[in-house]
Order: sequence, then C-alpha cells, then structure tokens
Amino acid sequence: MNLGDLKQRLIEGDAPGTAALAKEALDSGLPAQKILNEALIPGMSVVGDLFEKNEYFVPELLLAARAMYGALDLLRPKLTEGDYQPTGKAVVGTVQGDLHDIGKKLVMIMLEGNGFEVVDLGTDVAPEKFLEAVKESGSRLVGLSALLTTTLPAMERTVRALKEVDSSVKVMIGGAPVTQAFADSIGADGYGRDASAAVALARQLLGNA
Amino acid sequence: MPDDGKHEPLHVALEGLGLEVQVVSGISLLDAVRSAGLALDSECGGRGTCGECRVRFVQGAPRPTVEDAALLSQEELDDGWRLACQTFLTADCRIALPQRVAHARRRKIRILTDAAGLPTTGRPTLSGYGIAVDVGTTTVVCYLMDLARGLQIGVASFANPQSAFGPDVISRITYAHRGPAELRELQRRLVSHLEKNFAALCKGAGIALDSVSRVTAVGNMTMMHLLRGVDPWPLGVAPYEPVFLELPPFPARELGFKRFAGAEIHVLPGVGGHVGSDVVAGVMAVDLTRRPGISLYMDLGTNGEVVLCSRKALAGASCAAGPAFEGVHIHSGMSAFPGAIERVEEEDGRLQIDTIGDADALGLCGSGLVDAVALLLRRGLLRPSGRLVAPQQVPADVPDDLRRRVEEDATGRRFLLSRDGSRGDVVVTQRDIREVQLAKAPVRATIDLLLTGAHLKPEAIDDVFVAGGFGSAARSESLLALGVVPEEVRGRIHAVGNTAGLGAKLALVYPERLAEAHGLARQIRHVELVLREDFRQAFAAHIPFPRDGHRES
Repeated sequence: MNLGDLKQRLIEGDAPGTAALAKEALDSGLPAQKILNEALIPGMSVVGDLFEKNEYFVPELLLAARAMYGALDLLRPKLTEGDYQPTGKAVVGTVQGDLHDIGKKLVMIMLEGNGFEVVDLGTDVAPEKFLEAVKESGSRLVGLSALLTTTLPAMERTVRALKEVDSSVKVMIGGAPVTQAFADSIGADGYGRDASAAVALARQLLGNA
Repeated sequence: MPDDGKHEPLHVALEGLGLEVQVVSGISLLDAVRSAGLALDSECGGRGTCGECRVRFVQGAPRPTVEDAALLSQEELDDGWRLACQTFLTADCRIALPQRVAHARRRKIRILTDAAGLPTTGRPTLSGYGIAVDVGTTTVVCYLMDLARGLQIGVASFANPQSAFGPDVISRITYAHRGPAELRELQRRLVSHLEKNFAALCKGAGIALDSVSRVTAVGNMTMMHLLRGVDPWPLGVAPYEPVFLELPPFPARELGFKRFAGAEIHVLPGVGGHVGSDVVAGVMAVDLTRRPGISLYMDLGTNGEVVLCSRKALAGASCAAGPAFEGVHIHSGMSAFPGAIERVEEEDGRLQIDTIGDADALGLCGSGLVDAVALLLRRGLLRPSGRLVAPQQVPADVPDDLRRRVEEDATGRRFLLSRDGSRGDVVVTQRDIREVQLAKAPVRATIDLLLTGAHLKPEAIDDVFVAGGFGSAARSESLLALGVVPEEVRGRIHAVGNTAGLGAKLALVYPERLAEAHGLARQIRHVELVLREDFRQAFAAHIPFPRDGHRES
C-alpha cells in the first residue's frame, strides 16, 4: 500500500479517491495513526504551502479539506481505539460583532489537517462563550479571528477575559486588520499571518514545535 | 521618546514637490504627508497591513519595523522604502512619494458626467436655487440647480476630506467611534468642504448665497450618519444595522454651516444595513419600479449593492466586495485618476491599453483590471481556477505580443501590461487575480441569492443597470467574462453612470420625487446576507471564474 498515492489524492482534492485509498490502507492492516501521520498531515501541509504561494486558493483548499475530513471520518474510530493523542486541542472563533468566517475556517482546516482537535465556536462569539468552551474542552489554546477593524476592541476584550480567568491559556489571533504589534499591545500570545503560520504558532505555543 | 523639554518642530521635505511640512515629533509619517494635503492611500487605516502607504526615504530612513519587513522586500528596504503609517518621526527627513500620489495632487479628480438636464415629464414647481449633493466615500459631488427651470447651472467635486482617516467606511466608522471629538471632526471636515464648494458654485453662477434654499444629500449609510453627526458604530459590528433610515428635513446650521445656514437639507432615506440613500436615489433615477419585466440595479465599488425589482418583489442587499474594483490592494492599482489604465484589449494579436486622459500609464484602475483579467481568461493565460499559467504553459495559439508578457520569477507569476512607465512596470500579479476573485464572488453571490429569494432564474432578468464609477466604466463583456453577472444577462446590461447624483437632483427639483424616494426606501425589502449559510456557499462557489467558452489548459 503506497501512502504517497493517498497523499496525492488529498492534495488534488479528490474526496472519493482519498476515501477509497484511506479505506484500502486501513484494510491492508496499516495503523490509522500511521496513515494520518504519513499521508494526511503531510498532504495538508503541501496544500498549505501551495496556498501560501498563491497557487492554491480558497476553493482548492476547501476541496482538499473535504477530502481530508472524509478520510478522517474513516480513521477516527480506529484512532480512538488506540492510544492516539491529537497534536493538540484548540478552540477557535470569530470575535463578537464580526460575522466573517472564511479566515477562521481556513485556520481550522489547517489545524485539523495537522492533527489538532478543534472546537469551532462559529462567528460573532462573545468572550463568555470562549471561556465556557475552554473550560468544557480543557483546551489550552484559543484562536481568535477578526476581519473588521471595528471588531478589534472585541478581540482585546476576549483576550483580557481569557487571561483573567487563566493566564496560562495561550491565545493566538489573526485576520486582515491584525498585526504583530496589535497582538503585543493586547497581550495575545501570538499572531499568525495566515492559516499555515497559525499552525506553526499553535505548535509553538503548546510547546510541541 | 526622551523628553528633553524642547518641542522643536521636525521638517519633512517632500522630494520633487518642492514642499516641506513642519510636524511635531512622534506623529506618523502618514499623518505628516496628509497634513500637506496629499492623498496617500491607506487601505488598512494605518495599521501597517496593506502596504498602500509606502514611501521612499531619500534621507533619514529609520530602522525598518516588523511591518516594513513583512510587506517590503529587502531590496526595497535597502532603497529606503518604508510604510508611512508605521514610521513615527523623531528626526528631520526627506522623502519621495510614489508617482501616483504626486500626480493626484496636481490633477482634478475625474467625476462621472451625467446629463445637465433632467429626464422628467413634470414641470418644476419650486423657485430659487438648490444644491444636490452626492457624498461618496471617496468623492463628493455638488450640483447647483436652477429650481424653477430644472436646470443644472454648476457642478463642483472634491475628494472626501474624511479619506485622511481611512479609505473605506469601516475605517471611518472605527475612527468616528473613538470619541465625540473624532466624530465631530469627520462631520466638520465634510461640512466645511461642502460650504466652500457651495459658495464657489454660487460665485461661479453669479447668484447670491442666500438664494440657495434647498439641499438634497445622498450617500451610503455610513456617509449619511457622518453627515448628520451620528456615530455609525452599529453599522460596523454585527448585525450591521444603521441608527436611522430616515431624517426629517433640517436647516443647514444644524450641521455647522455658517453660510447657507437657513437652507433646508433633505437627506434621502436608506433601506437598511449598508444599503443607503445613494441606492434609493439610483433606483428612483433609473425608474426601476416603473419598468416592465424584471430588472437588477447594481452599484459596484468597495461595497456592492444590488436591488432586484420584479412585479412581485423589490429587494436590496449589500455585500463587501473588497477593494479590488477601486484599484486598491492591487499591485499596480490606483484610483481612476489620469494615468490609470482603464481599458485593456487585444487588437490584431497585440495588447492595446487606454489610460485616463491618454497619459503615460501609471497604474491600473478597476475597469482596466477586469478587462485584463477577461483577456487573460479568453486567451487561456488564466485558468478558471484563478491560477495564471507559467511562461512555458502558454497555449500555442497565443500571439507573441501576449506570450512575452507572461512572466514568472521567485515572487510569482504575473502579466505585464506596460513596461517602464514613470512609476515602473504596470503588471497584473497572481495575488491581484486572487483579490479580483474575492471582489467578484460576493457580488455574484448576492445576485444569486436575491434571485433565489424571488424564485427567479437569471434568464428571467430583462435589464441590468450598472451604476457607480467602476460599474459604469467596466465593459459589460468583462463583467460577463469574470462572472460578476450571470451569462444569461448578456446584451441586457446598461451602464448608467452616476445615478445617485441624478436621483439627488431629481429629488431636489421635484418634491414629488423626494416623496417617491421615501416610498421606495420603505418598499425595498432589505435582505441581510452575511449571516446566511447559503450566502457563504454561493460565495465559495463563485470564487472560480466561469468555464463557459474558455479553455482549460
């Protein structure tokens, strides 16, 4: 069983092909963990690179994501049977007052494509919702997104609320109007320029770079 | 900054313009340049993320900031390029501005022309003089009208002075919300320019200032709020609702007018969300609701607004179209000033470009950009996915003049439109194409959802009226090629120019048209799209370009 083919199907966004090869790999006795680590994660990382280089755009990334989720659905039962540990856990959402979700969605896809377990709170998320989700999921990492400059104050409020309750929770932020300087000024732990950068940042913040 | 007790002003010399400004230490270079009356763009509102405000230091370049390093190449940094918004001045310096800024200062802004007379059947019933005002986010136009004859006797336009606080409505909303002083400042700047231009119009026409008795004003929802001095903050956060839709008429003195203080101002009503009175005025001006069949009215700019009118439905929606159609966030992009490439086509296998004012090509405005993208699609140099082909992938039948313009280097792929202008090469980059995709997808998704909501198919549309600066300048062929509008409306697209201004004039001269505008604003059902999952899906589905009639290589 050649995992390179599976990886290639994923990069090309071929959902049926990806699912078929993932099933074949499982049937041939390969551990789910190995399939994840050696085909899906490296495949999504190639997709991330292509996106960063402007070769891939939102539609290609969404297609690859669909293929990835299809394969993950097949692997998940096997993963939970074993002693599988996700790369990390994260809570993500677009801050209060902002209804734009595409940037956050791309970050979520890249995180999940890198073995993270992600709780997506959607858009227009109040600070309390983030607090609740952190408590419930036990996640030590929160990702905040904003597209409008008008909602940057909500981002600041959310960071403050999270840090007040537990200063060890790591918060990373991103979105068109966000800069490193802004991240520093509101006490966020990091800023990611794009979805790929967010993954590297998430690993670093959770100390498993 | 160390406080040495002295407050010596700093000197900023602007190379090539013979200008020097004195500023206080610690202000941003962007603010310094703007204080000289120069319109340096900042798409991101001075946050250091867009790179629009880059300037070159001839002397006294500071150390690059993190933002500089992120947006400028090492070569550019070495040449002294910095982001003006991220440079906080602590010493004298000498800087050179990008060519387009220097040019924009010297030339008049082009305004959309429309007929001086008014298309109407009724007879004017008012007397004296009035002024119709179209408050655009970028440009403000004032029309002096002889009310008794229904004739335009003067027109004046100026760049919206609020642009110094951000180019788009969101950045203005952000600024206005900082506090009452900032809100008042935005209003005051606009009003003082209006007053000056009103006076100049009267002087030009040889009429007394106090003979102006009536003023109508149209604008997008944010401009309406800022004109009246109302904090537009609710428009900037979900669910993006205005504070008011209609206002009773009020005397100009309430806005701070000293002259014209007694003139009665009528702000035309808006529909809801970001669909403001400019749309209502436009819909009225083109008589959308009096037409047989099914029509679409579209105003394309940074915000796209679409109104669908059928016998059963009258619905309007707005979407953030992204700034690409205004030439913003585009590598060689610029506003529709002289020197902007406004048309791109192929003639006998050669690339033909037309610039505004037949000047040397300085950059590319929205209409030139969509023309270029349409040409690339047609020739298979751009795939429907939005990916430019590599030089070695150019299809065999592409003429040499086009072929040699396909370039690729470490920074990516691009298409060359004009080499070595006074501002360097004018190109369309891969990134620009992505910006265009993000601008056109929401507009098309908006059209689709309005149609779906009315249970209509695109082929049912009889007429499409395209208004606004970009919308009127763009060729319908290009709008179709990019999929901004559905293929089914081919042959039914009409560019109608500045219909918002026309509507303001009609409402000025004919009180019954003003009443009609109020009726329309209530009739048009506002459809909020951003919350809807089907909008997100339609948006994603329309990011690629149409495949019909184009080859996939």
